[in-house]
Amino acid sequence: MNIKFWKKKHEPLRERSIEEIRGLCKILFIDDKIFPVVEILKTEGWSKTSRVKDVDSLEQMEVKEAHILIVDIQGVGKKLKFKDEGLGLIIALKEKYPDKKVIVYSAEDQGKIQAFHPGIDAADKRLSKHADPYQFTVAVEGYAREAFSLSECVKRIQRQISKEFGLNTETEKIIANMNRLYAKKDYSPDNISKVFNIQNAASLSNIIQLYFTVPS
Amino acid sequence: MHFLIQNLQGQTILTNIDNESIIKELLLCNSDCERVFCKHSNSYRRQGHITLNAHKMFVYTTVDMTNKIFKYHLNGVKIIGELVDANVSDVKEIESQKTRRLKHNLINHNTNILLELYKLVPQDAFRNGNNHVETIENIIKNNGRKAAFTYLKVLKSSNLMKAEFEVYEMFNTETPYLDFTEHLIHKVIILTLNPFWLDLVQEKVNIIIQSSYEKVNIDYKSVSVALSHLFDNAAKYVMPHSELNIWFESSNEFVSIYFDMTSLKVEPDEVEQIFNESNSGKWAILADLNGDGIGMFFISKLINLNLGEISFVNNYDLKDSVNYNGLPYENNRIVIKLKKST
Repeated sequence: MNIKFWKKKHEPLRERSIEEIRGLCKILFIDDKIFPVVEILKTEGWSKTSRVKDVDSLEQMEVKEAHILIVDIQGVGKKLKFKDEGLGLIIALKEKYPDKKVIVYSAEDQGKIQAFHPGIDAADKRLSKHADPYQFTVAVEGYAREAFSLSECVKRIQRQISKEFGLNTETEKIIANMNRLYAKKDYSPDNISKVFNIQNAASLSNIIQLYFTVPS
Repeated sequence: MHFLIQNLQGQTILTNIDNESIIKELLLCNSDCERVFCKHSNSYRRQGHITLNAHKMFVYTTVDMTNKIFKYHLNGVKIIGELVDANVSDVKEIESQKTRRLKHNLINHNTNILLELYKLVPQDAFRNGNNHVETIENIIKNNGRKAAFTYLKVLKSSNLMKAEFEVYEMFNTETPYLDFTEHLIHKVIILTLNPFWLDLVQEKVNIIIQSSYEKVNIDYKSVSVALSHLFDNAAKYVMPHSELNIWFESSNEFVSIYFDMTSLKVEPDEVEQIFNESNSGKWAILADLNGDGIGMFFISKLINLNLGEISFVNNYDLKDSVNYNGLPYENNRIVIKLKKST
């Protein structure tokens, strides 16, 4: 008897639409004051957008689960006693979660904020609190696509393989490997190394694990 | 020679004296030349005081010299005071010019916002002590269309206010912060056109926007401010019952955005000056449409900040001008070139 015949067949991975990505991506604002952009993003379909006034711990569930963190410079980071409030918090967040995207924002004029503070450098993007909501949407959409769109994920894997191993890998081959990982639901670095036939898959696993943190 | 320049309010403008007690003693001097014992240097010093248009100057020296030589030096230092006088009034004038325009435009936009809101919900609507939210809710329910108009008008004025602030900030900051990011040009055009949509539709202007999936690498804030002012101007100068046609052209490096419209005639000799500060065309002045807005001068500066270009082509199809309500209109074109995203 052919056992393979009875095996459950998986649907191959398909591209997620932006509507799907909006519903999957978790965005966390860290701001001690109500910020209308939180509601605006929710209205636009980013349903997993929330706000906390400050963080008690970097291990806090909301922080751990968030894919994108949007941090105000003023009035946060106090509970963890960071010297430079939000900027100190950003450095700590980026150290603990280098793969999460962090956007820093401030009510201060962009030309006047501490442009050379390491916290600003650590953040992936800086925005003004007075910026058009569209600018927040563009930033969030860009990062969410980077993480959860299949084609963007494949591009990142291609870049990473080329950078680390100097190899050019075909898009189809990467998608086939992603499907193999998905079929087994094993996203461990060891399995990724095996499937991609590379020695150290640490950096690839960051990209792949992030892609599969949400249901496909 | 040590000196101290004070304004008439007693604030120190310029000095090279760092000893507070000498300053205190010097400020008591009311002669143009006197010799006093200086306990700080344990010797005699000569000091004097003169009054200029808007400043007072105090001078002292511990170098031994005659009264005549001291007064000669005092006269020399006076030149510095006169320069400060002239410079301060120039700076004041420049600053006041900048803030005058900003203040004037902000007051206008703010008044428009309040008036639009009061037009929808009169100020005395809450006179009977009704619940504010319920009162407003009822008014909006019963005047849905009017409320939609109010929303669009408030949106427009708020955007223009924001644009005024941004321009003021941008051109009064030594190194304005520009955030170059990838944007879909079509989306940017739609977003910036939205607040002016009502003005154009009320003039019965048919708006045609060609589709485009091109991406540009721009600082959204400055480009959206420039486009807001462009659409504000377009709504002012466009011929009623005409078309505003926006289309795109792509080259290797740039995306060109064409704004074709039938608008108030610009005389050929005015074309070169269109991007100069405080410039208004002959027909705009005659129609009383010239204003104190940000205008084409700032639009061009903002586009240049984005490494883009802007140009104006008058009567691009060389057709005869059309007369509408006694004013001549021609088919004019504005072209904005923005850096393509790589």
